[in-house]
Amino acid sequence: MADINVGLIALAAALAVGLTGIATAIAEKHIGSAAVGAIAEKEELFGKALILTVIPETIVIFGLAVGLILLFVVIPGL
Amino acid sequence: MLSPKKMSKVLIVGNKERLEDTINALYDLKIIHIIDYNDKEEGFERGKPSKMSSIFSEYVLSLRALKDILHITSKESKSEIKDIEFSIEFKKRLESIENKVMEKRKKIDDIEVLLSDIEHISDVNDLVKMDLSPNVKEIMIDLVKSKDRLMQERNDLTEELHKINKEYRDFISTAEEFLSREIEKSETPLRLATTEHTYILEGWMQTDDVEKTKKTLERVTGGDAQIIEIEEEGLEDVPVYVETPEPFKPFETLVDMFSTPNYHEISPTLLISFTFPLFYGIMLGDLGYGLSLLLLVAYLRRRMKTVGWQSLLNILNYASIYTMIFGIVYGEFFGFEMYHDFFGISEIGGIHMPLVHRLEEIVPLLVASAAIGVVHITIGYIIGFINVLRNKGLKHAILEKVSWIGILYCLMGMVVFPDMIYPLLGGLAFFIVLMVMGEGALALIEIFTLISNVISYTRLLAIGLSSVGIAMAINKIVTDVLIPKGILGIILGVLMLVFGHTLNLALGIIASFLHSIRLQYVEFFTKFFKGGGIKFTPLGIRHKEV
Repeated sequence: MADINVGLIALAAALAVGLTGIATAIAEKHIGSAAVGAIAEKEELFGKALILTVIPETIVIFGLAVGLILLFVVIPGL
Repeated sequence: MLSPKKMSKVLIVGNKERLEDTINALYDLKIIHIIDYNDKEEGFERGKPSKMSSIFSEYVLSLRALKDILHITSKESKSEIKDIEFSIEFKKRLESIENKVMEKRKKIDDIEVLLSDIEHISDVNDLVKMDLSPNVKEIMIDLVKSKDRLMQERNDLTEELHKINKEYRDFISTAEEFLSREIEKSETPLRLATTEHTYILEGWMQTDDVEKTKKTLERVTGGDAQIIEIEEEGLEDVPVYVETPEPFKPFETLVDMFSTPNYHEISPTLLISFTFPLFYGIMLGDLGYGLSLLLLVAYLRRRMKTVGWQSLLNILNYASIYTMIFGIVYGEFFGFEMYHDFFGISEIGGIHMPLVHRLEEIVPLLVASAAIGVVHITIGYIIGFINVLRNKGLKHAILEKVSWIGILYCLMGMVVFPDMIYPLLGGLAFFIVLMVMGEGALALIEIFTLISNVISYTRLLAIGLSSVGIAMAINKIVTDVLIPKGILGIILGVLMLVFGHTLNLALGIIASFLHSIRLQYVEFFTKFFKGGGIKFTPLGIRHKEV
């Protein structure tokens, strides 16, 4: 049971979530700073800016989905 | 309820002398969306505002100044807006209020200047020591000593302003509201084309309203104003009015934030008034959080009176109800598994409780959320199909929308039934050919978008998991670590529960809202919604602040 493969897969799951989290952060950083600039000029844009800012969150959700599949589908199947 | 109302373009032509009556009548009807005359055709010129306009503007200016000084908000006016006699009496009344208020305001200002000067002189003793001529010294000391008296006087004056506010705020608000309307009426001629003796008003109204308008105008102007319906090809800039049932009105705000639907398409308002709170509930899904949100909304509703806040709060109200329903389904109460932890039961009437345990059934839920996505996207394509069918015909509708539905189901079929991969590949190829015929080869890239769209719905599970995770971590720290430590632990535990769950609730409310709206905008709307319409804003309905 304490196969090295299990450990590797768990590590892969961690990487999937962690790295996509970093990717999301980088993408949101750019959108966020542009959004703050836009809001400074036109306050009504707040709602739209907020929504645009969370769009890249999809990336980390993909990572999470992959991570969950690795942990709950792949490992029990070994 | 789904499609925009049919509109007709109309011209109203008449004698300039009867223009005012016509405008008043149209203003009361609230059914015509005027197209502003752009002053470009020869022989016509823009109309002039009526004579009363500048007088009204003057009154409104002083009324608004009064409102500002007395801190009157429009909401405080309760009496009905009726005709106000614009006699000498009105003028006198307004002037007398103005004088009273301005006099008091000025006194308050003077006292405030004095008080701020006194602030600079910190101590009377300092003055005594200072090298000043006896006269000045005496005055200064007097001044400092009078500080309390001045403050008292200021408070009295403020109190008097409050009294004036109470006495006159109805009058001021009502008059301001009424005059603003009158100004709008008197400025309407600026939006029309006129010649020396006639005027032409161009606008849109619902086709059903044309007859009614005809009759009203005939009665008011004695047959002088003529209304002509024009048939027009290529309806480009038709204003859009979609009749949404009152309970779902707030969701119009969500659609408008994306774009106003155009005249040729189905408005998604009704659909998202069901799916938006549903997705919200699936993500947040906790009885305790739902109740807290419901209470929070009830509290904020009394506080935030602007139109924008009200519709946001109404939307959240729906969302909180769905959150509670899913809280019961998941059996979650502030992160506790309520059936087992609180009541010690694991089934009700032979049915296992909770119906769905989010942390233990991750894989089935992952599949279920993707399946919800497939259904939602399909609905999007079906609406898109109807839109294209109406505007371009069956052939285009099949090539552009049915092909996509086919691609979606063939792809999903390959995942679910790996045995059938070859027939499904054939089907996929067939639908891709259809799609390329409909939308061009570039759209091939969109196939990958389609796949990521479906995976994107797994956020329905993911956002919920992170919220449950935090809630459970808080609860575990409190129950397993802090409470066994005795009194101090219990105090800390309560603090931790309040602080932690408030934070998690705030995160949950915002994240669920944003992700639910994102699923509508990015995954759903892109399948059928073009937008870019002009909102139907009839004369007589004033723009509300948002």
